[in-house]
Amino acid sequence: MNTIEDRLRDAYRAAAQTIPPEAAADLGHRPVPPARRRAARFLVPAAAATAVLAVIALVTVVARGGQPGPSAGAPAVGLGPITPSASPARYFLAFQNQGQGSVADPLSVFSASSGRLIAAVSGPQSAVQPQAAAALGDGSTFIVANTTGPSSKAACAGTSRLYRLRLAADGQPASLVPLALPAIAGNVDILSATPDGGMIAYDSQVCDLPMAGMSVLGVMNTATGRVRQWTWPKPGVDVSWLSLSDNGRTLTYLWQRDKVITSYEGQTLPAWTVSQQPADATAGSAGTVAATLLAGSGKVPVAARYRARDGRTMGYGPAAVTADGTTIYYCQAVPDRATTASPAGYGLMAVREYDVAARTTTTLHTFSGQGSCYLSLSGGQLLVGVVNGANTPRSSLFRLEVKSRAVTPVPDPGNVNPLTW
Amino acid sequence: MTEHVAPAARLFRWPQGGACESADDIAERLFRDHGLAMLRVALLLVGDRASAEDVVQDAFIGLHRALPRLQEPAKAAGYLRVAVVNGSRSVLRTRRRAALRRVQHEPPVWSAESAVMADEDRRAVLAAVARLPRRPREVLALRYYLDLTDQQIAEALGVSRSTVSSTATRALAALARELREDM
Repeated sequence: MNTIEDRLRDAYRAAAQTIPPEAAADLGHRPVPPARRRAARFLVPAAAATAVLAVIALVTVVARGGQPGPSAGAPAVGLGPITPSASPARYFLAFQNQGQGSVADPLSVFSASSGRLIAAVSGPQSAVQPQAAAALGDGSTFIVANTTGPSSKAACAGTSRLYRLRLAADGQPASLVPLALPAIAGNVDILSATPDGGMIAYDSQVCDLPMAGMSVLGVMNTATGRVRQWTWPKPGVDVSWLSLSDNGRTLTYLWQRDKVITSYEGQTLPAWTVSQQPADATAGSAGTVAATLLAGSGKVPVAARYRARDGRTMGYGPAAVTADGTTIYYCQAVPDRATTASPAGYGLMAVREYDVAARTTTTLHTFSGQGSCYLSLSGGQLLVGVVNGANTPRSSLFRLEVKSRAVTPVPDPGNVNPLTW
Repeated sequence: MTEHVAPAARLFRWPQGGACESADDIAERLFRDHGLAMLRVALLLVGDRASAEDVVQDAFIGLHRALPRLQEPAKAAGYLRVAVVNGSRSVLRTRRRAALRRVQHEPPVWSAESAVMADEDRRAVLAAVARLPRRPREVLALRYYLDLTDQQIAEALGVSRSTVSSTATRALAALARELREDM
């Protein structure tokens, strides 16, 4: 090492090699066009707060009796310290299905033990109509997303903002305040968060991608406001569920395979994916479970897919992922051999456990019903919702202890779509 | 359920001949050939891997869009170098603004806060480089990591070849002075 040039080359080489060769391959999934991404990423304090405050002036939390909430007009805040609990949450959030003609399905708080409705988070007159929510680990704090845009029919052209919902000890909404985080372009329709709220994952429907129906996956660090976003490898893929592991490094998502298009003219890069077909995948598997392993610093996706072999696909199957990202739970419609269901029908809803490393799938429990299925993981328990019936849907709710596989029915809360707990 | 209809994939043929390739295929091949080098040189310019990944992803998106305008494959590498340099400048500009808001970012790999590089001498060299103005830093990274010619560096930075040469000479002298003092 004698000249400054030699030392420089050596130092550059050493620094460069801190990025291993496989890192480039891991840069998969196509990022969002830069202009849009930057707009979201760096829209912080001054401008964002001003914009948020304009909306927030109208924010109300409407309790069951229609009383204004205590946080009307609150300024944007930080998330604050969250102390995760090891116990399952006492409350869950769900959309109440009000059927045709309703203004909006209100997001409401329910008791996880009795199924009792505690309160609506927002009423029809509220400026904030959350479309997505994610529970944090303390059992009383939720992050919710609200989209404002030119019209309800063009929500993808709007902007989504994140709020912090806090419940009082009795489950009543105590505050709903905007978070001082970057706004997100488009209509955020799915949220997931680490228990401490340090990392948030979202799916946003946006209008200006090369094809209609594309969605954007984003991961946001709530401490720094830093956002990373990816679009899906194929247009038309409609992400229907997200679940972020506790360490923020594994993201499980579900897409509807029947919307995948294999040939397209896009403006973005192809995805680098690694397929992981479970060794024991059975014919009749429904849906697609895909895990994105956010390697290293929590950003680089390598997709692992689990999809039907028989081509029969159904749009069911939300997924939840364990804290360490090694196990994925998902719903799967399965045939009810005891009945003479039509070939297109299944009849039963299985909750399956997928071991990512071993690529094996086991069934935790099979529920009766063939409608939509909802899953949310909290403290080692899955909250399972199965909605039955097309014309007069009813929800059945259960708490499923994953270790013992014990199932505890939650008294019928009516027609709801359980969202998060 | 909304139906989505996909248009046919665009195909390209370079003017010099060769097989038709789709834009995706070309972009993927270019990424295979240049992705790692671009990622690493971006790291040397911006200091942390996450920002470097952003820069490179943006560069490849730009390349994907620019493919119809590029007349020959060789220009793709040059396009990427320009995009990575410009993207890195943008990151550093944004970082200065973010610092005013106390937004944190990953420490550079050569900083004492980072455990990525253990060797003290190498860290000292890169820390000294980091204290240089922007252009000398870019010239040194392109010359001594990517081993580009002065002409290629000039094209990447949008300056003359003689500017590259004189900038490198002055930067090396400054480094030598500083590192002797540090050692």
